[in-house]
Amino acid sequence: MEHSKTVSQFQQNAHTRDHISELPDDILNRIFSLLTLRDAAKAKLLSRRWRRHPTFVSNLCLDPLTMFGIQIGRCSCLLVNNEFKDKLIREVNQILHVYEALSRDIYCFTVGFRLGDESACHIDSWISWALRMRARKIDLAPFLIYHLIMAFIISHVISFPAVNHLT
Amino acid sequence: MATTGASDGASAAKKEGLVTLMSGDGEIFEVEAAAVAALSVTIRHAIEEGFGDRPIPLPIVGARALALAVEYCRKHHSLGGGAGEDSAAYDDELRAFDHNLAKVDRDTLFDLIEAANYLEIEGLLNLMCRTVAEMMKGKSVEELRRTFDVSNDYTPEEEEEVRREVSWALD
Repeated sequence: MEHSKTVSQFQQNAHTRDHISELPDDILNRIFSLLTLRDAAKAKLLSRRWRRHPTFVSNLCLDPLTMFGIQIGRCSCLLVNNEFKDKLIREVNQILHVYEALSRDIYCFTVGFRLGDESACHIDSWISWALRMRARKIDLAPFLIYHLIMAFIISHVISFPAVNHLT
Repeated sequence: MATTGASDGASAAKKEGLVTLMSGDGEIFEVEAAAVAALSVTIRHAIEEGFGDRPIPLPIVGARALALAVEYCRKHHSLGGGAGEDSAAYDDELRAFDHNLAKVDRDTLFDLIEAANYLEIEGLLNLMCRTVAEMMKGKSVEELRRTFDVSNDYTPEEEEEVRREVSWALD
């Protein structure tokens, strides 16, 4: 049949229309969901339309893939080396700060970095953050059981009934 | 512009197993009903609602995007979900087809996103959204601007504010 041109016939010149900003929100959401947090955050600088677009995700997963685009297995969580650690902690704190300012509940909070015992205070503060954000599921698999127990104690003593799943 | 095999939708649709589609710019496409109905929810519903014997109007889909969307449906319908010894070869061929389709120029890419969204062709929509995401990955803000021709409408003060907000992502 002669009714369709072949793909190659359309692989031609670029134009200068800002199509991407004209996409409906749900399509932009799909695209955002495929980006790392880092790339999604950068896109906010493009224009007001992009800033307005909610890059907020209710399943906040801070792992090597979403932050840096590094794909590793679920079980072999990245052990962050010292020189990188401070920067990483700063970045996570900045993200959490921005999320808190949006004052919306999150559903799931996952951290996929191993920072070591000396960073315990940061991990504690992230757990507190997740509780304040009423996260229903907290996944800190790479961290010590101590933090998880503390999180449960905190969540029950200070009455954060939201958490129902902790791994 | 794509040329079509059928010019008279009403008579063409009488052929067994064919359905006639009309693009927003008025071009007529005569295609296998089974292939497009299997992949496009919108067309499936239109056929179910009795559009089978007259052209289905697709007002927001241009002819070139429709031609590509139909090609996608036909290919995925004939090769997709294949079982048996040929399925691996079919998968390779489909992957190659998708890979090739994703190389369309930027205007066509966005036309295809719009078409796939309207026609509810989930696989095509995902393919094209993945393509856009790939184009965005790892690029600086300036590179993103150039790639997608997004103009900056921030005041210097606003831009500074956003820059502070996302500073963690900028180096």
